[in-house]
Amino acid sequence: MSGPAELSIVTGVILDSGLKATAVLGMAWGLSTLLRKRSAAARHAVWATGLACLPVLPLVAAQRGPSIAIDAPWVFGVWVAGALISLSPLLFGLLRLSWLQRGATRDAQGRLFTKKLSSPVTWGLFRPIVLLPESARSWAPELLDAAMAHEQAHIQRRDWAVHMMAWTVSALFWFNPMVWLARHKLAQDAEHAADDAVLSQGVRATDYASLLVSLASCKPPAVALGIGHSQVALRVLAVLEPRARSPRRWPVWVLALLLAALALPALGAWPTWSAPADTLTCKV
Amino acid sequence: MCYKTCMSDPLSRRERQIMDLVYRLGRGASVSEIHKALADAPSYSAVRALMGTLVEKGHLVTARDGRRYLYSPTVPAEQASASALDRVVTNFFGGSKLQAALALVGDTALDPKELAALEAVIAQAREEGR
Repeated sequence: MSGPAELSIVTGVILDSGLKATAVLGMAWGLSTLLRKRSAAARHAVWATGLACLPVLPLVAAQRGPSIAIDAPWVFGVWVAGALISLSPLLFGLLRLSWLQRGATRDAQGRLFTKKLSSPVTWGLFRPIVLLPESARSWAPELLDAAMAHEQAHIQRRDWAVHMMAWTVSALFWFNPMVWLARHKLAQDAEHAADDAVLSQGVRATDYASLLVSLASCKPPAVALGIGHSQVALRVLAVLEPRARSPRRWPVWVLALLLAALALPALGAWPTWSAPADTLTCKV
Repeated sequence: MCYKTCMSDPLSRRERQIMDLVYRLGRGASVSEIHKALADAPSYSAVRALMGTLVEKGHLVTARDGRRYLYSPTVPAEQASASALDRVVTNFFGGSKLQAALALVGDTALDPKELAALEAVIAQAREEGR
């Protein structure tokens, strides 16, 4: 068991790195804005690096030791509760997926189908799984191929592993809204990048756009008007308009990691606050 | 095209009341029957409009009976309560199975205007040979 002194250091480290996460993701935001004419794959790499760097912050902050301590055990309790609540949909979702997979049926080509889904999904790290909705059996063969190409692109790009990393990081830093925003952007760019991969295989943009629209559910008329308010609409427009679709990511990895290597140690060591030596964790 | 998925749309309090009454009657109900049975009922035409909405949303179907129209539920009562439970579970866990995987199309929804606009954009692009 950690004593009260350690607990208050951990609390300080969490709050300190939670604040500094804003700066890291701000840099990712800036870089992805600079890359707005580039492909979604490039921007996805930026957000992925930004989120993956966040766990470095508490490691650096911990070096500052007792000077960072905050003596408020309830803060630590709230943080633990928030992290568990943030992770629960993911854990529950994984259970439901493995349960769905067990109930799925295979066709002659070995593809898995289930009645419990309305859209194809993919997940899994070492043995990735693609699960198709039952309705996909009646799709035109070229549409089914396009959907499979989208899922294969996720698998080749290792998007699911990045998705899991982003979820874990956002659960640890749940109290910083910027982290949730970054995860949202990351997920969006992963979908755009997988769409780009489908188009690069010669699937007609209009056919693919129709497939996306037909998979979207509908809702009653809203007050909000116009186009581009939903994820599906943004993707349909992105599929139809001419834009950069290169899957190349390594130049961005190099740039983002270089930035991270320069900024993180300085940022982590930067003193946000220091507990005065005489009051240090002695109140217990 | 979105008939089935619309079934999961939440109903307003009034719409819920009307659906409950139709289920309780257990047969095709006319607007005037529902109007009479409805506690603190709004005007007859308001009830007719509400029932029209329920038809549009895919909860009710109409059948002609002489001079009047009878409304009956599209989903039998037992099935409807099962889907209500499913809805609670889905809402509570926020479609968690889609959050734990990568979905080709997630659980975002289009409203009819947006859907029509998108279909127009696609038709236009098709004409341009894209």
